[in-house]
Amino acid sequence: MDEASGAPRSSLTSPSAVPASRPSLQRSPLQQTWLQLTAAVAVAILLLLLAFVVWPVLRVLATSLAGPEGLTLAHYAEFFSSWRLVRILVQSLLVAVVSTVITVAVALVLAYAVTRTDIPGKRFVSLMSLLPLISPPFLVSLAFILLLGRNGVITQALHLDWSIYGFTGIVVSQVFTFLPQAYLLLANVLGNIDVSLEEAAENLGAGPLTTLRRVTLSLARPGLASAALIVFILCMTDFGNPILIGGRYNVLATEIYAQVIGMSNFAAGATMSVVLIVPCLVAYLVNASWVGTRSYVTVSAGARAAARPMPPALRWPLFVLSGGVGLFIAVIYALIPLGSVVRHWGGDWSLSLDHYAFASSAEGAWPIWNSVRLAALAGTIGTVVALVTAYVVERTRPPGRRAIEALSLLPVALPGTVIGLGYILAFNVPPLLLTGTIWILVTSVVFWKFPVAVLAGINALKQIDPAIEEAAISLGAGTVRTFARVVLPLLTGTAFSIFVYFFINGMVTVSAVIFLIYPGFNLGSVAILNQVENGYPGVACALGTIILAIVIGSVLLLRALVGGDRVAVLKL
Amino acid sequence: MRRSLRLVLALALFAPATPWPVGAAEDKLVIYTAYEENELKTFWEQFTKDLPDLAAKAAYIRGSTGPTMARVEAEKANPQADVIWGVFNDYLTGAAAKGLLDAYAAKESQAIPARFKHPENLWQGVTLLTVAFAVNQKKMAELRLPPPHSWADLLDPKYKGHIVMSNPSTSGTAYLLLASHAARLGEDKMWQYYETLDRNLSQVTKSGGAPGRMAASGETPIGIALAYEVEVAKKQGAPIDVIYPTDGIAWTFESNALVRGAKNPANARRFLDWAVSKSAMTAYAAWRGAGITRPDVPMGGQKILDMGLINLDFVKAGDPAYKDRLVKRWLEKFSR
Repeated sequence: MDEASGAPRSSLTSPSAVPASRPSLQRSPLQQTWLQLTAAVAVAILLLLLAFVVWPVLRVLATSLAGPEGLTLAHYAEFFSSWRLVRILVQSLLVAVVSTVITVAVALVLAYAVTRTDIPGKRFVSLMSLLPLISPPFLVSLAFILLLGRNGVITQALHLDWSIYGFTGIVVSQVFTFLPQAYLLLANVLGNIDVSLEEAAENLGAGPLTTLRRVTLSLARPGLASAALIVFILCMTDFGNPILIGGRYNVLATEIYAQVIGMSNFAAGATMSVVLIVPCLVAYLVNASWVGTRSYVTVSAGARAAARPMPPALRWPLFVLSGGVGLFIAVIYALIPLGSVVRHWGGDWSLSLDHYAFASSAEGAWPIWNSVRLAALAGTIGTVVALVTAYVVERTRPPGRRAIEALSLLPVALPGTVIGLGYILAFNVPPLLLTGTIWILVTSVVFWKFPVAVLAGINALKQIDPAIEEAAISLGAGTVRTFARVVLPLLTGTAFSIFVYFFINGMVTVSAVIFLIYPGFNLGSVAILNQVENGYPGVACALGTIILAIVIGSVLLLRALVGGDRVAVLKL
Repeated sequence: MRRSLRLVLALALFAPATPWPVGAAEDKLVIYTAYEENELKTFWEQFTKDLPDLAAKAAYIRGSTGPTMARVEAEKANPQADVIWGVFNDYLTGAAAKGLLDAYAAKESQAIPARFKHPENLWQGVTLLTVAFAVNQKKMAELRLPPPHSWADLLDPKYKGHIVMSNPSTSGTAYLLLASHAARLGEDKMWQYYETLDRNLSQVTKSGGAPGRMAASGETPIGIALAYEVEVAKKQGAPIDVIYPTDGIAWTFESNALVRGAKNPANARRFLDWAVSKSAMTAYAAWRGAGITRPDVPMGGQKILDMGLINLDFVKAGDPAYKDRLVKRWLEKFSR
C-alpha cells in the first residue's frame, strides 16, 4: 500500500524532485516516519503482550514446577495422588459438561425460534438474552438464592426441606448466565443458512422435521460445535457462580482461590491452574483449527433471516418455550432490585431503603466508585491499545504480526483465576511492581478481555474498503492524515463499542480481580460476594442494582451521545 | 468528533490522582484486620474520633483470619501492612515463629494481664470471645426440633442438614474449634466426632461469622458461631438464642501486632497504642460486653473466664506445623 501510494503523492507535490528512474521508491520523510512509527508500535504491542499475557502464564507454570532444588513434578504428583483434588477436577469437568449440553440445547431452540420461525415476541427474547451479557456473572446465582435458597421465596412457600446450593445450583445458574453467548452465536449461524435450501428440501417432498434434521441442523453443525466449545470454556473457568451457590461443591476455579488466598499455597494454586488451563486450551485449539479463531461473532445484533411460517404443532411449543425463557430471565433480573428494597428477605417482607445505607460494612458504597474508576480506566486504555493492535495486525502487516494476533487471542482460553494468580506472581516483584496499585487491576481487565476487543477492531477495519484510504491518498492526503481523517472517524462506532465492552467488564468482573484488590481498594463486584457470604443478601442486591444501573445507564448514555446503533454490545 | 473529545475529557477525570506507579514509602497506615465488618465500623468510628489525623492516612483491609495471615506471609518480601489488628492469638504466634512480626509493647499495655500477652511482646490481646450455638427459634419451631445443649447433641441424626459451620482453612473460629475439640477429646476421637458431625452439616462457610448471621436470618436453624455476635443479633431483634454447650466452651482472644518491615512504623506504633487504650476498649465493649482484656475498664455481662471453658494450649494450637497438619487432614476428609 505504501509502495503503491508513494509515487502519485510525491509526483503531485514536487514533480521536479523525483528522478525519473526510480519514482516508486521515493518516500516522503513523513511516510518514512510513519513506517518507522508503525514498526515501533508493533514492537511496543508485542512487548506489552509478552509482559501482560505471556509472562504471568509463564510465572504460573514456573511456580507449579518449582521445587526446593530446581524443577520438579512433585506438585503434580501430589495433585493426582490426592483423592480430594482429583475429585474436584472430575466435579469441575462434570459441571462444565452438563451445563454446556443444557445451555447449547436451550440456546439452539431459542435461536431457531427467533431466526427461522414467525412466532410472536421475538424481540423480547432477543432483548432479554442480552441482559446477562452486561451484568455481573453471578447475579443469576444471587437471584436463585433469593428464589430457592434456604430462605428463598419458593423454598418457604412450599416448605421445602431442600435448597439449591451445590451441583444443581451451579448448573442452573451457569445455564442462564451463558445462555446469551450460545444463543447469539447460534442465532448468527442459523440466520446465515439460506432459506432456499430448506424450501428446496420441502419441494422435493421432505417433511418439516426431516428438513430440520437433515438440512438446517446439518448446516448448523460446525456452529453448534463451536458454541459448545466456547460455552464449555466459560463454564469450566466460571468462578462467581460456584463460589456463591456451590455450597459444599467445589470446582477447580474456586479451589485455586482457596489455596492461594486461604492458605497462601501458591505452588498448589499454580498446579491446579495448569490443570485447569489444559481442558480450556484443548477446547480453544480444537475450535480454532476447526472453525478458525475468528469464528466468534463479535457484533451481537441478533441475526435475522427470512422467517418461515411454521406448522402450529411446532409454532406454539416453540413460542411457549422461548417466551418462557425470556420471561424467566426478566424475573431473575427483577429479583435483584426487589431484593434490595425488601427489609429482610425470607423474614420481614416490608419495603425499606435501609440496604442502600450500606451500614453493614465500614467501606460503605466506596467499592462501587472504585469499580467505576477501574472501568473507566480499563475502557480508555483498553480501547486505544486494542484499536492500535487491530490496525497494526490488519493494515500494516509488520513482521511478527502473526505472533501479535495469536497472543492477543490467547486470553480466551485463560481462566480469570489463572490471570489473577499469574498477575500476583508476575507483578509483586520489580521491575514491574504493580501490586497495591490500580494499574494491576486495569492491566488485568484490559489484557484478559483483549481478544474480543481486538477481533472487533479487526472486523471493523475489514469492512472499511482500502479503496477509501487510497482515494484519500491519491487526493494528496498523506498516510498520517489519511489515518487521522479517514480511518479513525470510520472507527468511532467500533471504538465506543470496545470502550463499552471494557467498561462493563471493569464493572462486573470478579475472578481475576479478587486476587488483586488491595487495602482500601475493594471493588463493587467483590463486595457483592462478601455481602452474600456474610449473610447480607439485601445489601448484595443493593450493590448489584447500582452496578446494573451504572452499566445499563452507560450503554444507553453512550448510544445517545454517539448515535444509536453505532454502539453495539460485544461478547465472547 | 468534538463530542467524542468532550467524552474523553470527562473520562480523564476518573484517572487516579497518583502517578504511575504509586510510590511505596509515603506517610500512610495500612491495617489488616479480621474484625467483622459490623463491629469494625464502630471501632473505626472511635479511632477516627480519637486520632483524626492518623485515621485520615489510614486504610484497612478486612478478611477472614486465614486469608489475612496468608496475605501477610505472602507479602513478606515487600510488606503491605503496617499493623495486624484483632486476629486470633494462635495465628499471631504462628506468624511470630515465621519471623513476620516485630516486638512492640504498646503504651498502657501493662494494664493487660500477662496471660493475654506474648512473653516477648510480639502481640498483645485485646478482645475475648467464645464459640456457642446460634439457634433460630422460629426455624426450630417450624421444623419441630428441640434445641441442642451440648456438642454431643449436635451428632443426633434429627439435625441432619440443619447445621452450618465454617471452614478451618479460612476461618480462625473453625480452626479454634478443631484445636479445642482435639484438646477436649484427643485427636483420634476428635476426627470421629467431626466424621459424624459432617453428616449433619448443610454448608461450610469461608468466614467464621457467616454461620451466626445465617442463623439470625433464618438461612439455617443452627449455626456454630461466635457467642457475642449472636448476642448482638438477638439484641437487634433476631429470633435467636445463644446456647453455650455444656460439655466445654471453646474460647480464645484476638490480638494486635506490628508487622516486621512495616513501611510506616511510627504510625503503626501510634495505632497500636490507641488499640489498647481505654477508649478503644470501651468501643470493643460495645460489641463484646465483658469480652475485653483490660480489667480496669468497667464492663457488664458474664465474665468469660468464669465459664466452663475448654483448656486449650494456645502455644501448641499456634504452632504452624501442628495447625498445618490438622487443617490439611480436615480438608482431605471434609472438603468436597
